[in-house]
Amino acid sequence: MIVSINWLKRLVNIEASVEEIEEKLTALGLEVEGREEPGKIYAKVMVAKVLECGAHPDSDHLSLTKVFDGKQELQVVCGAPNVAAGQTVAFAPIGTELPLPDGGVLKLKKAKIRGQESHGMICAEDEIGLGDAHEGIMVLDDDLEAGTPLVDLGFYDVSLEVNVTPNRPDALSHIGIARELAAAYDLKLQLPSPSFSESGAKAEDIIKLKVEAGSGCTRYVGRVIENVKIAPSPAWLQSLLRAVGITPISNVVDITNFVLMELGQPLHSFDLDRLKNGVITVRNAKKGEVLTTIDHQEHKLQESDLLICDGDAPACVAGVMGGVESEISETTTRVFLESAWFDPTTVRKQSKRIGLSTDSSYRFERHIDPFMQDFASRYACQLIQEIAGGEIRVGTVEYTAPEHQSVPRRVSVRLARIEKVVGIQVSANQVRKLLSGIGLVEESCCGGAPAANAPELVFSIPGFRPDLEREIDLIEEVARLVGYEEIPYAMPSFVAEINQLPQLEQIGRKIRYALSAMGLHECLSLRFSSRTAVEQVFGPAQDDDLRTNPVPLLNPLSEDLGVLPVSLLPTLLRSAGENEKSRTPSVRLFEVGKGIFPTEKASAKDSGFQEIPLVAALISGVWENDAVSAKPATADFAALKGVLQSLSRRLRTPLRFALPANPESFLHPHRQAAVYAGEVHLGSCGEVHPTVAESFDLRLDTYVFELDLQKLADAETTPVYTPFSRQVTVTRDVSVEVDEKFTHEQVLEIMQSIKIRNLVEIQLKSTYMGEKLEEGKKNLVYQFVYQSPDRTLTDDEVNKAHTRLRNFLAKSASIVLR
Amino acid sequence: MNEQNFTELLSQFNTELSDTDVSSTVAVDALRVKFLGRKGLVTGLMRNMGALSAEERPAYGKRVNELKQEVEASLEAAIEQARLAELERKLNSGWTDISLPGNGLGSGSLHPLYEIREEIIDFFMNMGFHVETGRDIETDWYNFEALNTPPDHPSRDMQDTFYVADKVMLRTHTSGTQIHYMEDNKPPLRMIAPGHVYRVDSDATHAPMFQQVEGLVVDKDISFAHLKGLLFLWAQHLFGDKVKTRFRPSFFPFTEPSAEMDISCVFCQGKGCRRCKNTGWMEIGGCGSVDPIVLKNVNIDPEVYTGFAFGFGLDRIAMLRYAIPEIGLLTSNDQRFLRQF
Ligand SMILES: [Zn+2]
Repeated sequence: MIVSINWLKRLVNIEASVEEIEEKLTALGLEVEGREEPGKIYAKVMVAKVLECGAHPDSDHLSLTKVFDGKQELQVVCGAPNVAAGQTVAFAPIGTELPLPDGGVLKLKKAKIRGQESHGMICAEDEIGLGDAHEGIMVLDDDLEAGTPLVDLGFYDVSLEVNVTPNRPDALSHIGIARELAAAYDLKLQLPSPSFSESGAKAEDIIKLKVEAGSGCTRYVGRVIENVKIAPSPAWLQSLLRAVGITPISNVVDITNFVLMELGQPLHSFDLDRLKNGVITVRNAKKGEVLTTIDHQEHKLQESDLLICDGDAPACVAGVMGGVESEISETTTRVFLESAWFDPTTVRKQSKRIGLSTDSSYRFERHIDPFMQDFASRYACQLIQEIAGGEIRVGTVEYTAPEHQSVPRRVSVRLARIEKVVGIQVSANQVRKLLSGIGLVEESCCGGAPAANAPELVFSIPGFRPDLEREIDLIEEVARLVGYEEIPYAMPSFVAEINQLPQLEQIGRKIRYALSAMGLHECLSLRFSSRTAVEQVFGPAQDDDLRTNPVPLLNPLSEDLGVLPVSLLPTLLRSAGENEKSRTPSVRLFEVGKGIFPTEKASAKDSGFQEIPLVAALISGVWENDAVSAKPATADFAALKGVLQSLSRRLRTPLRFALPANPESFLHPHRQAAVYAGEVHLGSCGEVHPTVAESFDLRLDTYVFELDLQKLADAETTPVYTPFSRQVTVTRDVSVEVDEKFTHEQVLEIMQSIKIRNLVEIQLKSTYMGEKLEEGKKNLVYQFVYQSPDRTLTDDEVNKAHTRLRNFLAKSASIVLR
Repeated sequence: MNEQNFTELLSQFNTELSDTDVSSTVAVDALRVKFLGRKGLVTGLMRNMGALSAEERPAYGKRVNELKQEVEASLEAAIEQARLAELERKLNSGWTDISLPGNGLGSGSLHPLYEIREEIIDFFMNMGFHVETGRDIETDWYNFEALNTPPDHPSRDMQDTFYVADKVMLRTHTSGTQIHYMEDNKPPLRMIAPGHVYRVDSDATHAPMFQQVEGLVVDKDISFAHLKGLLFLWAQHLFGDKVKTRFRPSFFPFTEPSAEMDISCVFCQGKGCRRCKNTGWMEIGGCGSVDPIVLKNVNIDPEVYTGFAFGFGLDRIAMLRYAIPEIGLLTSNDQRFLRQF
């Protein structure tokens, strides 16, 4: 809602500065979000007195004047014919910058005009943005003091942008805002009191009104005005409308807009000569009906729409916009003026459906004052009579539905309840004063007159406050009017309770700390995926894989944000591609998030979707950075597995890596593993398949894992101490040669298949593949650790045990001892 | 053994000592072993004692001891010298450029938004609030209707909604968690619910997904004054003890009285600057007393119990604290951004 300060001052005699008004409104819950001061650029223009005025010695149309600016007398050359000694004028001194119509700026300098010095300019209205008059200078009131800036005298309007919350339809009008200020400053609200003369025929003899019951129109007041002269509105009206962002059109239309902005009651004016059927019908639309509104848009109507019709022909989408057929034009002389109350939901639905929100529909859908229709109509008639010279015909055509609110609602409030909810004590008289200030009227409670110290007060609620329905609404008003800053800061007393972080939050934290300490960066992705990216990873839709059937949004922002996530990987892979573009030597990302899948509804209240918490990571490029020896390691499967194993240690969840029974198609077929905790499958890890990598523009070999976070959390274990031997350990190395594809795990299996006394650990020390070996072979070096639980082993004992082991290994067909 | 033997042995020791590298403890120790070890030359003299008569023994013994003491003293001095020399070498060798980067994994980072989220959770948890994470997909009942926001009501305009099915949506706020929590628990209640929320919106200050923390307190005798007190404490915890708070009337369908909470501008300390549009204040979140209708919707008697609720945007708090100019950076996953935190 844009509010004009000049407009407010017509309604309440407020002297506070604009800044103060802004602060007050914000403190009242009418947040001021912006301010327009069109006069700001004229800040230097001031009041001055013309002391002398004579003819310019070298020109017949210029005058030579002496002007007093409050401090000094200045010689000024003036070209206006109406300049005269003794006048009070608007004066722009040297240094003033005046905007020019072409968009440029005129900076006033000391000038010589036909040989005479001129120290500034006496201004015409149009030169200082106060109107269109250019012929002569602007002559001001003689009371004004020389030297006062015009801006300070209210010559320029200031408009405020007020954020009106949906519960306050009353504040969508100047009268509503003025009422709040009047209450806050203890001033009187100056309401208009419409009066006009009626003449000629009865309105009901000129036009009939037919309102369909249950249509959504519960009150309709129509008046007829004839012999109207359509013309531009007077300057005061135009400037007020402009200040609130409405372009003046012509007097009658401007007046309806003025009443709307002042009282909050939308009005509509029809050209009566273009309503051909003599009957105004208010009814729901029929299927297939079409109406072209005054913005020249054609709308296909639906049965739920509410129409104002000329006979049976649609003439107006009720509460939203009028039709072009019956629009007021320059040639209009007869006006039918509509002031009505339409059902908020009906107007909201049709405004949404046809995609048209207007100043009128905005107010109707927020519930306008049900008692305002006749008053607003009369106010508009008065103005039309004054400004456009119309003759108001006698009476109205009107309709009131039985369900239309006829008496004000009554709401009571208990003082004790105010204290309980707000935490302040207020007296009955305080409540009376606060609430009557905003227009509530106290009613007698239980028959008798209200007692001074009554524990409960009853108020009747004016029509402009439909939001005040319950006691709590009045309590809020009391708190608001007392001022939230007056409510003390207090601490509640809490009972101590056992409390702990939810399981997923706990494990999420551990993972975040662990992975970031391993050099990964934590990501936060939008939880929307692109279907394309999902397909790039998981392939085209398949019935048996939920990940290939992401849930689409019904109203996505864009294709790219069109589906719900089934995995964190599509977005992380995209982010990796983006990061590679910045030529980073490495990408290391991780995220704790979720995938969303459709499921059976567990109950009627259930959404029918399940959310699977996930953790995923991605690494590529330089892994262990070593600038000193210049031997950086590159991310590979071992690096990825190292990350997972460190994580497993940190979480105390032993992880198992196995060849996948169902390999992931987005991973390299030979460089991927299924990850288990015990027998529970958690997810997979591996190198991104080259084809998938290419589709995400990845140049670096990229390794990823993704695990089910809930299952991972459930597998957390508590370590139990096992006694360990404090005896000296003895080690022996064994070097074996095996086929390239014979795994470490397979070698270990063979080594562990024989029971050797005092052998406590087998550790892989190194692996080698390369030119020193036959092709397709690899060399593995293991360290065997011997230790007795209770004594020091002798060399002899160890040698014996180790020889047994070597002999056993030597017999294995898969292993060659070196 | 005569005196000459002693003198010769001593001079042999002195000659060998002078040939020994006395900057090496190893060399000096070898000399010690040669003379004073179990099979050493001086030690050997003692063994000769057996061949002497009882009268000769005391004098001989005394003389051996004298020699031993002299050798020991010299060796001790030499050892000390060697130790010092070795320490000197340790301290002066292998100069290291400490400005070289450390080896190993480059340092990773925690997301600034989750940092803030954790801090807020911990603040409230320490006061005994239970933490609920809620769900991203909500039904119309939890997201709107139970929160006193009927269909076709203009207050729905405040929250433009992403739908995934009829009456099923991405939650527009974390407030639905209030309802879930109040359905499952009986007062007194203390709960916070951090989570992702979604609105059809996208520009420099609005993202289609952002993070909120919801809070709820329901008990006997909880008033708006308690809301002010608790949130003031929270603001001080998060922004320092110089911060001021301001509460001004606002509207949310599920709280009444409702308020917006502002904090004094963290950039100009309330003096007024460009970032706070010269007001000295910055909007930080919405709050209010729980509307009786909401309590009724979950079968809590509003005559007995009252409460307050609040909701804050974490993105905005993170942006304020770390001076992040665009909300989109938070979800950019750009390492140039992430590694700054
Ligand atoms: Zn500031």
